[in-house]
Amino acid sequence: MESLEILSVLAGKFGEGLEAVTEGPESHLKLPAREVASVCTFLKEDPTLDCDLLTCISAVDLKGLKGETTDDFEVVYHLESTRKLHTVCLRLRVPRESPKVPSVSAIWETANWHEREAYDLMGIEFEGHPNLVRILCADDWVGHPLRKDYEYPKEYHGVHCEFEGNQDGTWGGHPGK
Amino acid sequence: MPESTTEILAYRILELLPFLTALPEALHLPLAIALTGLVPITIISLIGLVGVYMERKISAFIQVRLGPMEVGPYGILQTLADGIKLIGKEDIIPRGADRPLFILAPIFAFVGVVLLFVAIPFDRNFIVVDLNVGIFYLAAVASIEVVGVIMAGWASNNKWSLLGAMREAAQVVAYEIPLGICLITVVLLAGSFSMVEIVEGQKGLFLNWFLFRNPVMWVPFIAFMVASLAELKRAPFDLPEAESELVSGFHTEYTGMRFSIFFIAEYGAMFISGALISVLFLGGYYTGIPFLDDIGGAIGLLLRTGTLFGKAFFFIFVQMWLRWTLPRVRLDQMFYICYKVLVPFGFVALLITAFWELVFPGQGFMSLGWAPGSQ
Amino acid sequence: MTEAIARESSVHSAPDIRTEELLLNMGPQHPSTHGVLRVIVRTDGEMVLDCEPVVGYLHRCFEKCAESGTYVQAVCYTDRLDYLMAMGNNLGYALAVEKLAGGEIPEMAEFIRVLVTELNRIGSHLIALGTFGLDTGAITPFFYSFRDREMVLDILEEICGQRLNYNYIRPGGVAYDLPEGILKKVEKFLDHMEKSLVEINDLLTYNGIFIHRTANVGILDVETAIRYGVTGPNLRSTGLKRDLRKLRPYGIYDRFEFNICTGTGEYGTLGDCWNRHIVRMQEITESIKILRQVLGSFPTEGEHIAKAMARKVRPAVGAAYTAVENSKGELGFYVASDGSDKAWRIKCRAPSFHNISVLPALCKNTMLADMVIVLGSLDIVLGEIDR
Repeated sequence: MESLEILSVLAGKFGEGLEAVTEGPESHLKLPAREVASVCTFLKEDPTLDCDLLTCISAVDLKGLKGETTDDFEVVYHLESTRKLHTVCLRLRVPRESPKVPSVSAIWETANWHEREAYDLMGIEFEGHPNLVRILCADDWVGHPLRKDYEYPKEYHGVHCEFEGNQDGTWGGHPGK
Repeated sequence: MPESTTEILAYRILELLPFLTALPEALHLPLAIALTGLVPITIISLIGLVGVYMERKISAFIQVRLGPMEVGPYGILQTLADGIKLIGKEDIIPRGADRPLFILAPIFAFVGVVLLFVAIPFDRNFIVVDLNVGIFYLAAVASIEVVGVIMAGWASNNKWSLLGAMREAAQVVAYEIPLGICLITVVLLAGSFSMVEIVEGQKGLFLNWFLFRNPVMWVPFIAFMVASLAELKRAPFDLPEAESELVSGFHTEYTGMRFSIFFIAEYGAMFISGALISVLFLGGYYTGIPFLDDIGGAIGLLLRTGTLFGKAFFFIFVQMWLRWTLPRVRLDQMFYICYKVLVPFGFVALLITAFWELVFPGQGFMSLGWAPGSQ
Repeated sequence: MTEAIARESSVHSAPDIRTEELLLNMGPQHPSTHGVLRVIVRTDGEMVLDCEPVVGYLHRCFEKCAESGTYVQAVCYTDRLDYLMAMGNNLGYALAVEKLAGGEIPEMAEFIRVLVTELNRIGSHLIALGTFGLDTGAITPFFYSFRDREMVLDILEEICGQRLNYNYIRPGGVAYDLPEGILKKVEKFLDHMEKSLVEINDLLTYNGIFIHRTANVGILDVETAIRYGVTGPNLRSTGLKRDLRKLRPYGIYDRFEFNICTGTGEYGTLGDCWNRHIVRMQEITESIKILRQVLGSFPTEGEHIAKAMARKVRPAVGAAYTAVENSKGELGFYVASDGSDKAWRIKCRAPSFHNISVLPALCKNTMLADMVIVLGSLDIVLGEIDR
């Protein structure tokens, strides 16, 4: 199925809040965060859509992005069907103060580790996840590194880890200056 | 009663070192005998030296590389250098390890090997002690090493070492059964438990070797080789020291000299199993060419000792060749081979050998009909 | 994590029988975990009841580092993801950026890309088979496969100066032109590799003990694989024909003829360790086939990089996901751009991340020795699991 058809099917079934976006490098479906579990269940179980492979869950921090007014997080789901050979992209936004998204780990096992990573690195909380703990950073790490307002730690377990580069994390300038 | 080599050597040592006679009379013979004990230990250490070099060179050639080439011409002195390095290492005993057991374990393994060495015949009269229950003694003493390994695994305070030791105990004890069956088959042919008698029974043309005595003797031969590979914990039966799983198995926590004792014990045991295979099936110290075997004196002694060493080192080469070619078998597969393949086939071969000896006593099937047997 | 397993072990022992279960910790330093991976294993003697992989020991947060440099500077970070197939990572990233930036890639650059990627794929599969042999205890095939891999590394070193982290395939093309005479060297290597593959197969793949160790061990069925997101040879060994080079061809892969290799079922069942191994063996043959076609139709002259993207890449605002077929599976990059020359967000979808997550499902009630075999057959690289 072409992505346009899929998007219109979904928009038709789930009504308001959903918006199909077709211009840009990737056509995707915008949906409100609370709908994601029901939409994903439908995508997996409907025989014409049959999205059995969850390829990727990405989390993007929109704070400071040109053209954005809010500082939400965006969570992007890429799904694929191995039998029908089509792909679907879902994007949803959650506010920074309470970044809660229903978990889809019951639908695809893949989501288990992807959601843990999104929680670890971006701080998005997935409700209903069986084991939402850090996966990549150390268990006692403070903060969520991929956020745009992340503060680099000064030390970790007695190891000095402040680097002498630019404090805003960019490169440039002579090292050691 | 002929004096055994030990007593001959003991008296020679007393002659060579007259200051020993200053000690009380009762201590002379025991002290000299203790000094003769240094001989097998030295020989085993030298075999370990040569064995390690052989292993590194053979593995290198099989793996399309050169092996040690720097230390000495073609790397001959490499093992010596390694030995010096190992002696100089810090002696680490892990915290929480059972100290007495930790220290005793390598000694048990080494002692097991030295005791086996005692019964290997290098020539008719050149054997440490010619026990008239030689075979039985070998089978019994071979298990002392197991105790050493279990002690090492337990005393290391390391779950992985314990796993390795448990696997090893299971494996060695299991494979002693086919080993014993093959030994009995040979005893049937020789009519005696004594090691020298077994070799003497194969005197003459090489067709008299026990391997060619009847059409099924290749079964105990192969079974004995496989079982001795398992007893030595060499690949494909090296589960106890499976590097990729348990780091180093039961001797993970051993460093320096303690580790090298385990190591030398392993190579000594390899030599002994090679010597045993040649004694039991391939004529021992006899070359199999009658006029060469009849040479007497010092030259004959050297020739026959050299023959036994040569055959033993050939089997060491075969064992190393197998190690670097084959993958490892799993625990349950190892037991399958032991109990469902080697034991039944070994028993059948034993029965057929027994019948053969009844019908054609002392005759090899190669010599049936056209020449009488050797005995 | 550990508490979850420890809690379970107390739940499972019945009140009247006290069975001693061993909680073993494999790694992070361990000869057979193929990198800094920690696996917590709950065993009952030799049987594994449950296992849990703990990752993150190699986490360098490449995604954050890549945001602080330009798109071209971030290429060297992508090398270090799956460091055994660095060209594939570079290619995936370059394609992702090109999707946003648009523009034509020169024909010569496309051919060079296929050349180096397929050479790298052969190298990566050689490591996979060598280390898998090591896990089973066969030490010699490791040396044979590494000897052949040295030839690949020599060729790639001549092309781009590096043996492991190539930093070669950039958005817009490739970094440098090919040196003189390299195509002849590639052809010589291909001839040698075909003979060497027969030798390695005789030594390892069709060895009786190896077959006994790997056949019917760690059987992965298609549904479980897809549910866990497993892709690449692991998924193809279950019988599903899914290869991104054929499904959504990128570059010029649609010009070449090659088969999708699936498990043969010759020994064992589809989806077991032996079939995963044979799929990788067959993929080496297929890569050789592709390379011969590349050599046969190689253009004589052309640009090696699109001039517009040679120094600075400024993609349009937007975000897209692009995936390539790496030796471990589907490697995807989700790149979000804000119109400047620095990326806003790069997310890497690593195949080994999914391959390792399926380990607990494969290892229920197998022996400890089998667990090591399964781990080896999954062919994971910690660099891309942890990023």
